Amino acid sequence: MTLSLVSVLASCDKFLEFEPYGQPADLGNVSDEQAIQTIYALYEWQYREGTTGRGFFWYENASDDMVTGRTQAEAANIKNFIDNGSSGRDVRDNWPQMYQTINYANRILVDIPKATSISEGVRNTVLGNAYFWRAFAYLWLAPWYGDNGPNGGIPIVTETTSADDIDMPRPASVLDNYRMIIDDLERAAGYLPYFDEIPNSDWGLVHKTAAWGFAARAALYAAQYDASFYDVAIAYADKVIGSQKHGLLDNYADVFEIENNWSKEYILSVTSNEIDGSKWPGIGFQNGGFGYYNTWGYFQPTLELYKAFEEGDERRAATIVAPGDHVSFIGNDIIWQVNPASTSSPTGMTLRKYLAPFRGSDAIGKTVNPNGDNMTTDLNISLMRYAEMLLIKAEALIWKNGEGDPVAKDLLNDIRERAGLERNSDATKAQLKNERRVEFAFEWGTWRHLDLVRWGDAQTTYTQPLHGYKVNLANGAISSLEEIEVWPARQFNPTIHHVFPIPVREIASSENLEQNRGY
Amino acid sequence: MKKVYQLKLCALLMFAALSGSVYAQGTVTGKVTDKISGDPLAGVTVTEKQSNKSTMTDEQGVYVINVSANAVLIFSYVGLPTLEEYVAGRETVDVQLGGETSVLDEVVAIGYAVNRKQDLSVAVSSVNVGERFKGRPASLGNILQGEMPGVRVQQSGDPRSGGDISIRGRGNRSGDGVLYVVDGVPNAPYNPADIESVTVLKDAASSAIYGAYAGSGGVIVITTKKARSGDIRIDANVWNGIQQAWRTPDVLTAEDFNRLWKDASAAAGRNIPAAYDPAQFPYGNVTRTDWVDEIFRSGRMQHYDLTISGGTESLNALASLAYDDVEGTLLNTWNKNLTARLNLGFKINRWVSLNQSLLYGYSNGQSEIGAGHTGAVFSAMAYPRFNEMYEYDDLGNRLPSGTVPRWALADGISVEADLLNPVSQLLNTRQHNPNNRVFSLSSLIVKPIEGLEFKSDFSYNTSSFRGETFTAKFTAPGRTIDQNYYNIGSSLDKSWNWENILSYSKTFNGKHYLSALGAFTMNYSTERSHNVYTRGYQFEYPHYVVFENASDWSSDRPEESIWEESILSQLARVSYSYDDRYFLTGSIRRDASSKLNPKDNADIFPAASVAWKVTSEPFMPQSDVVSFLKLRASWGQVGNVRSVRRFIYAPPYSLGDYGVFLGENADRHVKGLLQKTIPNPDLKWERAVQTNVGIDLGFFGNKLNLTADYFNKLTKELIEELPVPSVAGIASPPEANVGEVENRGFEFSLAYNQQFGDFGIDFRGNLGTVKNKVLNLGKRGFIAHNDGVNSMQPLQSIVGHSWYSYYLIEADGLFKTQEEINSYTYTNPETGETSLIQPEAKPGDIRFVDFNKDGIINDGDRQYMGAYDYPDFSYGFTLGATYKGFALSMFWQGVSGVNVFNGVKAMSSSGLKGWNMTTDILQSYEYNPNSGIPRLSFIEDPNGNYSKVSSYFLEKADYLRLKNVNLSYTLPRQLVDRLGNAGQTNIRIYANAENLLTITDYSAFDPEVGNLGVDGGRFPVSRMFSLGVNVSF
Repeated sequence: MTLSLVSVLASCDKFLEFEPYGQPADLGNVSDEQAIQTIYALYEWQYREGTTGRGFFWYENASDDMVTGRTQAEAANIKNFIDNGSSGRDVRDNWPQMYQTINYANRILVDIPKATSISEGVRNTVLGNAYFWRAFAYLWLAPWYGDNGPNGGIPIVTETTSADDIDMPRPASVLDNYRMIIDDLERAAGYLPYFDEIPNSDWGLVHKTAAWGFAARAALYAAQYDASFYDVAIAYADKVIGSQKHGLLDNYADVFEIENNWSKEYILSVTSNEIDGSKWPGIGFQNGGFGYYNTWGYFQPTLELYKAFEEGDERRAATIVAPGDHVSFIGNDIIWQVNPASTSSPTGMTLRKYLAPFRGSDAIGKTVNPNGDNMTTDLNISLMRYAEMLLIKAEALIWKNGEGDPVAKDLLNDIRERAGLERNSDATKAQLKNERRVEFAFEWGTWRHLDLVRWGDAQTTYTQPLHGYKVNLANGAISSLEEIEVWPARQFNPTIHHVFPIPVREIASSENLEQNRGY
Repeated sequence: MKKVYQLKLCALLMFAALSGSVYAQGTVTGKVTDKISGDPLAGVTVTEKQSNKSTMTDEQGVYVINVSANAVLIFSYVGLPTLEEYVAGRETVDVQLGGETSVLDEVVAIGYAVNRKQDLSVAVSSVNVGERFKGRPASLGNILQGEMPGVRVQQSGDPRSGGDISIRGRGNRSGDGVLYVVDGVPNAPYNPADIESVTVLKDAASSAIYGAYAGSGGVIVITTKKARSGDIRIDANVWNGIQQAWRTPDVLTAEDFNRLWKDASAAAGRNIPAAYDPAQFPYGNVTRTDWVDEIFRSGRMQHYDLTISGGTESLNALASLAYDDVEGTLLNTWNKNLTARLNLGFKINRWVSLNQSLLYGYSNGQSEIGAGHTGAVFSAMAYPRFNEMYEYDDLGNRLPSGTVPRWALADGISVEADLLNPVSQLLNTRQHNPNNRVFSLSSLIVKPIEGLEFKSDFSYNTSSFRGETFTAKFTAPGRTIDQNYYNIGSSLDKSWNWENILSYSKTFNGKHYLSALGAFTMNYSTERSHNVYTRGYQFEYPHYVVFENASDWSSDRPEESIWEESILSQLARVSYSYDDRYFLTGSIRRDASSKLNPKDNADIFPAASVAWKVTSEPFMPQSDVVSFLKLRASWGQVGNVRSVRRFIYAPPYSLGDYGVFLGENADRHVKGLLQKTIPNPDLKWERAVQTNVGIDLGFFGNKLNLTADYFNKLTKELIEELPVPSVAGIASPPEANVGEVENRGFEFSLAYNQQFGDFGIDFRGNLGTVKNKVLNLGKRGFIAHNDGVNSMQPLQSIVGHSWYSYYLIEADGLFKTQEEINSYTYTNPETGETSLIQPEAKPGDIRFVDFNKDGIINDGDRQYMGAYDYPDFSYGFTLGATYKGFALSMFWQGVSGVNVFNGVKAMSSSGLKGWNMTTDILQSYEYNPNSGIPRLSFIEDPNGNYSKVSSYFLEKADYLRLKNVNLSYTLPRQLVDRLGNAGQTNIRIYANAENLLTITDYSAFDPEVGNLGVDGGRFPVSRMFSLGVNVSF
C-alpha cells in the first residue's frame, strides 16, 4: 500500500506543471517578426491618458498660458506649487510609464544583439528604436524633476545595470542625463533610416532626423546649466535643417489639420485615429461638449497668452477661440460665449489648435472616437515639428553670440513670415521668448513653464495673477468684455519649485531615490 | 522532506488499517417521546445518516436499529423539527422531539465528518435552515447575514448578487478566500432551496483539514437535503412577493435648483448660466420629472420549489426542482434561476454502497449598469428635473430626452452635466447572461469491517457562461453614446475533484473513543474564454443585433484566455476522546499547487485542538443552573496562494494591453511584446496561523446557551507585490512573501428557548468584533488604493493600521467669520514669517486641519481614520414565538462603530457640472449658518470643500435593521388529516417581510455600502414582502 501511494504521488508531480497559453516565456530564438514586435512596446506609453492625454499638462498648467477649466483641488495644488508629490492626478503616471519604456529598451539592448537568426535590417531598426526611446523617456522626465544640484538628475538605468544595483541613486547633475540622452540619440540616428525610407505602413516609427531633433532639444535644456551645449544644440538643429527633409508649411493653421499629419513640418507625432491614440484633442474643449460630444473642459488659455500675440499674428486665431468667435463643433456653429451664452471656461476663451477633427457634422465615428471617454481623433499629436529646430537654433545663437545675431534674425523672421507678420525681428532675447511662446502654445514638449524656469523668468511671472474675459451680453450679442482675475498671484520659490516633486509612491518604492529638496 | 512526509502519512494509514479489529454492528435502541406532552411518538422515522438505513418507531415509540458506533441518527416526524443525534458509542439513545431543543444537541458537519456540537473542540457556527427561511430570497448571503459572529455579509439590491461573505477579517489584501464545501465537495454548485444546514468553520483547526483550496478565510460547509428510505414524500413550497427600494433620496426641484444658482452666481459676481436662468430659459424653471422615482419600481419576486423523495433499503432517490424569478427594484434588472437535482443511493450489499447525484443549474439576468457618477443611480439624482422623460420629433416619434430638450439646445441652452439619461441608460442596455451548469458527484462507500470506511468521491463540474451586452446609441443632449456596441463573452469552465478518504473509528472499553482518517485528493480546473466586441449597428431592434449586422468588427481585437490549475493534497486527522470529558484532535495536511514553482510548490499545515467538558467530570455536582460547561482551545495553520498569478515563477511574455496604430492612415494596429513582471521562483505559501480559545456554557437544563470565543489570526509570509524600485520599470511587480497581518476579535452567541404549554419562545443572538492591523509590508511604505469615486481616492494601507483605511484631511467644521480665517495662521519656525493656512477660504468654507504643520493644506495633511471593514462590532438577533400552529420570528441585524466615505454626498452637494443636488443643500451655510453644510461651491470652490478628500464626507454608518419578519401558521392536524394520509400531511402558510425597518443616521441610499466603504451610489438593499405556502405529504 505504501508503495502504491508513493508511486501515485510521484506520478502526480507532472500533474502540477502546465505550459502557458499565449506568448513564449523567453525570446531565445526570436524571429524577425517577433523582434520587430518588441519595439512596439516602446510606443505603448503614447496612448495612455497619463502621458499624452493630460500627462505633463498638469505641470504645464502652472505656466501663465493656461488655467484649469474645472474645479480640481489637486490641479490647483500643482498650479499653486503646494503639491508634495502625493497628487492622485495622472501626471504621476509619467514616471513609471517612462521607466517601463526604459526597461523595455534595456531588455531589447541586452537580448537583440544575441539573437542570431534576425536580419541586419531588422537588427538596425530594433536597436535604433531602443536607443531612441530610451533617450526620449529620459528626456521626457529629466527637465521636470532634475537639476544641476542640489537635487541632481534622475536615476540612470541602462542595459548594463545589474538587478542588484537597479535602485540607483540620482546622478549629481541632470547634465549626466542629457549627455546620455544625446549619446543614445546619436547612436539611434546611426541605426535609423530617414523618414522617406520608411514604408507608408510603418509611418509613426522613429527615424533619423527625429533622433537629431530630440538631441537638439536635449542640448538646449542642458545649455541652461552648461553653455557649451548651445553648440551641440546648433549642430543637431543644423543636421535636421541640412537634411533637406523638412520645412515649414505655408500656413500656420494648416499644421493642425488631419491631412498634414505627415507634412514636411512633421518630425515626430503620436499617431492617433478615431479608435485609439492621444485623447488630447478633446481634453481642452467645453466640458461635456454642449451635449454634442463628451469633451472634458480642462486647461483653458489665459488673457496673458491671448495678449502675447501681436496684432495680425495669424497664430492667435489658429490657437485661441475668443468671445464671439465662431467655432464649428460636430457640425454645429458655436458662437463662443454668445450661443450658447456661457461656457465652462473660466477665462471665457478656449483652445482651437486641436479642434479640426471635431469640425464636421459626421465627425463622430469618422474623425473622432465615438467613445467620449476616449476622445481620440484622426489628428496626430505633434511631439516635435520643424519650427522647433529653427527656434532652438535661434535661441542657441542669441544666447551664445548675443542679441541681434543675423542668422537668428533670419530664423525668427522665417517663423514670423509664416505667421503673417513682418520680417522685423531684432533677435532679442525677449523676442525669442515670445516667439517660442506663441508658436508652441499648448504643444507637447515645448513647455512654457520649463522655458520660464530655464530663462529665470518664473518667479516674476508667477507673482502676477492670471486673467480672462467675463462676457456681458445684451440682446443676444456681446455688449462688453470685462477683464477678470481668474487665478490669484502665486508664491514661486526658484530654489525649490524649479523642479516638481517626484511622485511619492515612486519615492516609497525605492530605498535610494531622494525627493527633491523642499518637498 | 516530501518523501519523508509521504512515508509518515502512509504509515499512519497503515496503522489505521492494521489496528482495526472486527467489530460487529452495534444495536442501538431507544424511545422517542413528544417533548411537550411526554407521550410516546409512533411512526417516527429513524435513519442512520451515513447509510440511509432506516426504521420506524412502534406504538410505544420504541425503535431498534443496527448501526455503527459513530453513526448519526436522524429522527424525523411530520410537523416536528428533525433531530439529529450522534450515537458516539452509546447503546441506548432516547430522544424527545418537538418543543425546545438545545443548540448543544445539534449535529454539525465538520470537515470529512459530522459531530455533535457539544463535543467539538474547534470554533464553528452553524445555522439550520428551517421554516423561518422559507419565503426569504434564497441566497447564502441571506442565510448567513447576522446569524453568526465573525461572519460578515454585505448585500446590495442587485438581483444578481448574492452578497459578499468574509470570515474573521482580512489577512491578504485581496481577501483570504472563503471555501464553500457542498456535501463534501469543494466549490460544488447547489440549490439554495435545498440547503438543510450551513456550518462555518472559523478557526484554523477546523478549516485546516480543507487546506488551501480557496485560501485561509475559513470554510462554509453546506449540507443539502438527502434521499431517505421510506414512503414517497413530496414537499412543495411556493411564495410570491414584491420588493421596493426602502429609501430614496430627496433631490431639489428645478425651481429650487435655479434659485440656488441665482444666489450663488450673484455672490460670486458671475453670470447665471442660461439654462438655469428663468429669464433666459423659463422652461427650465418647472419641475417635470422625478428621475429617482422613474428608475425605481416595485419588482415582483416568485419562488417555486418541489422535492420528491423516497425509496427502499437498497435504492433511494430524491429529485428536486426550484425556480426563482426576481425583478430588481431598478428598471430592467432581473434574475432567473432554475435548479434541478437528482440524488440516487444504491446499497449494493451489506458493505458497499454507491451514491450518484446530478445537478443542472441555469441562471440568467441583468445587473445594475455603471457605478459612481456614470451609474444610473447617481445620474437619477443629478439629472435636470425640468425635462420630460420623452420628447417627440417632427414626425411624432418618441425620443428619450437629454439634459435639455433638443429645441433648447438648438437655441443655445445647454447643461454640461456629463450624465446619461438614467432611464435610457437602464433601458438601452440589454444583457443576456445565460449560465448553464452541470455537476455530477459519484461516491463509492466501502465498509469492509465495522468502524472502517473507505470513501471515494469523484465530482465533475462544468459550466458554460455567455455574457451578451448590447449598449444602444444615445444621442440626446448631454453625455452621449455615439456608437452602439455589442459584445459577447463566453467561457467554458471545467473542473474535477477526486477525494479518497479512509477512516476508522472505535470505542474502547466504552470510554476511549478514537477516530482517524487519512485522505488523498486531487483537483484540476481549467477555463477557456473569449470575448468579441463589435460596433456600429444600424438597427437596434433586438432581432437585428447580431454580429453580421455590425459595421465595425476590427476596432477591438477578439480576446482569448486559457488557463489550467491543479492542487494535490494529502491529509490526516486523529481524534480521541475520553469518557465524554476530554477531546483531542490533531490534523496535518500537505498542499501542493500548480501556481508555485514546481521545484518547491508544497507545504505542510498542522492543526490541533483540545476541549474539556467540565460538566462531565465526576467531581462536578449535577446542577440545573450550570448544566453544561466546556472549555476549548485550538491552533492551526492554513495556506493561501489565491492572490498569486499563474506562472509567476517563470512569467511568459505578453502582448501589450493597448498597442498602437501605425501607418499613413493609422490603420495598422500593432501590439508590443513585453514582459510585465519579473519571475519570483522563490514564492512560498502564505500562511495564516490562528489561535482560538472558547467556552461553551449551558444553563437551566441547556435552555440557555452561551458561547464565547477569542481568536487571533496572524497571516505570515503575506503575499503582496514585491516593492520593486520604481526605476526598474516593472509594470506589474511580482508577488512575493513580504509581510504580516493580524486579525483578532471576540465572538459571542447566546441562545435561549423555553416552552410554556402551548406557548414557546426562542431567542438567539450574536455579537462579534474584528480588529485588523497590518504589521509589516516589507520594504513597501504604504499602498495607495485606486478605489474611489469621482476622482477622490480615500483609501490607503500602511503598517500599523487596517487594510484599506480611510486616509483623509481632517475637516474641522466651518469658518463662520473672516476673523476665524485670518487667525488660522502658520508661523514658519525658520523665517518667522506668518501666513494664512487657508488664504482662499471665505466664511462658510471648511476649516482643514494642517496635520503636518507646514502651513499649507495639501495631501501631506491626510491622516488615517479607521477602516470600513472593521466596525466596533456587528451583531444579529432573532426573537421567535410559537403558539399552537402559529410561529412568529423577527430577525434583527446591525453593525456599530463604522464610517462610510459618502461619495454620493461629494457628488450630490457639489453641484459640479450642473448636477442636481439633494435637498440638504437648502441648508447650506448661506441659508443656515449652523447646519455645518459648507457654502454653495458650484460656481467656484477655491477652498476645495467638495474636491479635497476630507473627513467631511466620512459619515457614521451604524445601522440596525429588522432584516426579516416571518409569520406562519401550520394547519391543525385534525384538518389536514382529512386531506391526505393521516399523520403524513403538513400544510403551512406564511407571510414574510424583509428589511422592514432600518435605523440609521446615514444620509445616502443605504448604510450597507460594501465596496470598502466608498459609497458611489450603490444599488440599495430592497424592502420585500411575500406570501407563501408550504405543503408536504
